[in-house]
Amino acid sequence: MSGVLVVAEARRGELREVSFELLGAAATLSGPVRVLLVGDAPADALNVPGVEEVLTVASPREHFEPHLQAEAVKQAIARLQPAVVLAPHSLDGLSYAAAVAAELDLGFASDVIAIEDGPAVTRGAYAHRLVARLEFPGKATTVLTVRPGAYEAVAPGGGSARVTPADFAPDESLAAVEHLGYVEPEIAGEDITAANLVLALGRGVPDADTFAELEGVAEAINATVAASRPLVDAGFVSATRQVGQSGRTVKPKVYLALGISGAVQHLAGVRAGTVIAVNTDPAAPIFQAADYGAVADLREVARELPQHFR
Amino acid sequence: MKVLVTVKQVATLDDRLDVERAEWDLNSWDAHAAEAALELGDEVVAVTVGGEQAREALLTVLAMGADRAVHITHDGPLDPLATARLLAPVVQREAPDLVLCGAHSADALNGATGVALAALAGLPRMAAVKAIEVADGAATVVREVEGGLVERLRVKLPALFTVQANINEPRYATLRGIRKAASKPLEVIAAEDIRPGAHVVATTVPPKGEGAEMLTGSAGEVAARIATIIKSKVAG
Amino acid sequence: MDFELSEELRLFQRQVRKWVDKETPKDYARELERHEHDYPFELWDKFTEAGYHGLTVPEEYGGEGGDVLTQMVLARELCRSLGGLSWVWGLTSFAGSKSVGLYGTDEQKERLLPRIANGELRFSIGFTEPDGGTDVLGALKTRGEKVDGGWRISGTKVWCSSAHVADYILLLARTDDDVAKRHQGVSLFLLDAKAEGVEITELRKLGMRAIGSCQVNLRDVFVPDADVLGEPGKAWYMLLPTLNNERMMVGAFCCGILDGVLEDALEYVKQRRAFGRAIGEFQTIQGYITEIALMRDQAELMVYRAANLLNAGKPCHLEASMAKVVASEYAVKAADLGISILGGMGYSADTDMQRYWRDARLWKIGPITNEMARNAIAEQLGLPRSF
Repeated sequence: MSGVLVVAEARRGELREVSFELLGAAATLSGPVRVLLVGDAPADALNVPGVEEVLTVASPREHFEPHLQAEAVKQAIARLQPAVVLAPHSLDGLSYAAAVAAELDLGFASDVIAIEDGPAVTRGAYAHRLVARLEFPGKATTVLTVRPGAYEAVAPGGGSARVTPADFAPDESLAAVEHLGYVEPEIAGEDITAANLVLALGRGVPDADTFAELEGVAEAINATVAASRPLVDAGFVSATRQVGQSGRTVKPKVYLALGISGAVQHLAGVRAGTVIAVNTDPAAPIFQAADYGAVADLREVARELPQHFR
Repeated sequence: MKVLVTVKQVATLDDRLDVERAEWDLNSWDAHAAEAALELGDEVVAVTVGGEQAREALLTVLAMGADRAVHITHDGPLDPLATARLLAPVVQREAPDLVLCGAHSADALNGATGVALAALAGLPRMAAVKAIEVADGAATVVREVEGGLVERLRVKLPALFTVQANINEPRYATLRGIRKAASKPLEVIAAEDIRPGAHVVATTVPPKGEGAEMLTGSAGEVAARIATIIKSKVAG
Repeated sequence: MDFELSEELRLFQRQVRKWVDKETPKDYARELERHEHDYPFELWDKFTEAGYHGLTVPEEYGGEGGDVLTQMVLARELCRSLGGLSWVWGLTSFAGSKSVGLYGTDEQKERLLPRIANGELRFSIGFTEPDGGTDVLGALKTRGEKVDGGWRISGTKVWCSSAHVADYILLLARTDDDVAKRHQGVSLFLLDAKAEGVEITELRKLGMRAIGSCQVNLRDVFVPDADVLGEPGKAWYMLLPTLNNERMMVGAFCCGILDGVLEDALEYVKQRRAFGRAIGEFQTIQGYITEIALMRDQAELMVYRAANLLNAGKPCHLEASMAKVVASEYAVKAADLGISILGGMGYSADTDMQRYWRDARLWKIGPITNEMARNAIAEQLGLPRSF
């Protein structure tokens, strides 16, 4: 078994950025890199330097179906015999990667943040308070789901790979999940994914009054308000402003996080140039991820900001 | 309808970062799964894999209202595939209409055991759902994907779903429920045939060196520094 | 000797902790307590929903069937966040469910216990009088006169917590002056707080705010025979077990205060910095924190010992009194250390330490003063009565 099989991810005909992060990860490992794309999306974009082959698989269903996806991956593994299979640790990935590994008795690890040849991987342990190193003795093939944002995305295209329609395809009879429809999130207000300066608010914001006050501060410093999941669940802000794994990914120049603990699912949506965190808990994980931090009351600090922006 | 729910105890470390001194509690995602099971099922069976203190996870779910529990005993951590392999025979034996699992555990955050279990037990599956309705032998579920996009799906039963925390508010176990739990059937099975999918070579404290540069001083001084940083990085 | 809580109690304690952290966390308690004269009906309703009012009511009457130890666990867990507001639950628990449960006739139990368990009935206590708390028998001027079908009660009671929102006041009155000993001839009544002739005024206090402690004036208030608790004239013999339960409940409340103080102090000293370090690194601070932990563990053991005895139906007057003395003195000391540790923040109304400090202080003087409790303990140790 050798080389890497990258399982790309697309939604509604568009490739998701994680696919290009996986390609970046694959480039750090030895052996030929092959890419699997199930369903309809621009396969040529996956043809980046270093990739040997891009295999496209027609899916009998228009939308992601976890059993068909798993079957296609299994068929690709049988055909290509990779040492490592990389899938995104995404909502889709959660539905098929572990199934493939279980059914074929392969090595498996999820939410990995670093990979070496072997393979040997690094992932969090005990809610990321500790870090674990895993190996897979006796496993010819190992399936890994990679944390979004752990690797830099590579630029699309520019490679010299063969882009080939696969001669295998999952059988429709394996499908078990019927797609009924999508419900679009309502776009309320600004698009946080386009903002340069994001003021992100988290569970440390105690009530609606404080939240309103902070909205005022955001306006005064010309920042776009975003929030972590707890504030969306509390109804302070709509889901369109949620940053995180099941929310949106923001890429501002500066991300000012107030009262955010830094849970992994939240940080998955942050690709900022500079992260500044304010939290009363000195052990908050966000202080590991941030560039600057202050253990302080977020209200007290926020109140003192507008005067510097007049 | 018979619903099986898989639960586990998760460990929380304090600042000493000593696994021996961890505090154990029912995984919060599993409490949501148990609540969903109790709302949907007429008969609810709770299953866990774990050591002596895993029993408390089962008792809690029994106290919430589950009918029976199964404790597959094994000391020490297991990877998701090994766990799924131990759970699968029980699932097959019980032949439930629905299996519910938490989307992840708060300590390992694998997000994999439920889906691996579905594959091994031959059940159709979907991960990370935030709503489940059952009618006419099928489940209509809702999952939320990246970007806040919501997807509605239908799966025929029997099936397995892993659930997100926003699916419901788990009920509290009352004292009466806790007392009743002690006399509900709790089957103990010793785990055999452990086949891991990974081997943990080392668990270490992450390097603290690269943390944030901490700003000190009064709130006003901190705010002034933050303002300077913002203005230097954000143009205009 | 197993010093651990049973599995059942451990599970219950965990559930209560989860409930408290979600439904009545410290900032919620702080906010409620700020409104000194607004009885927290919402908090009462939360207790109803959780089944806590019915905790010690037997299952056959619609309660949870919990024993004394369960009551202690709940008291402690509530107080860790709620402080004195725990009485919103506690008062009815022992003045209502415990006393009716122990001394009520079948008719009274059937009539009252299910409604107590359902959160429909609120109880207050009328024992202390303006002229005496400790020497209640000497000061007892409230009189009950037998009339056709019941009794007429006249007198004044003071420090009746929650009387202004209560349905019943568990009231102590003298019904027979012609007795050999002072403790004979006193009776307990379930007095309808809304009856004609009842006048209630609220008193202002240092702590235990929002539960509303009152002076109750009674002018010829009619109490039907059906609402006499136990046998007329024999109330003193019934009071003791109730009082023991109250003392250990207060002990459990104080353990909750100690838990809250320790928790808040630890969190503070890990983040507060001075001279370039977290203050938790300084020896004096570590000494104070250790002191609090030592006091907490001692109080806990004393309270659980007393509760275990009461649970087993064994005499526990000595142990209950000791637990109350120890726990209350430690709670007050700990809260005081807590303010020293938190410094300015400890004095701030925006943190909980000052609330613990104000609330705990009551428990050195009530439900019995520690001085009087010490006298009683000395007597139990075989020394001649000193009062």
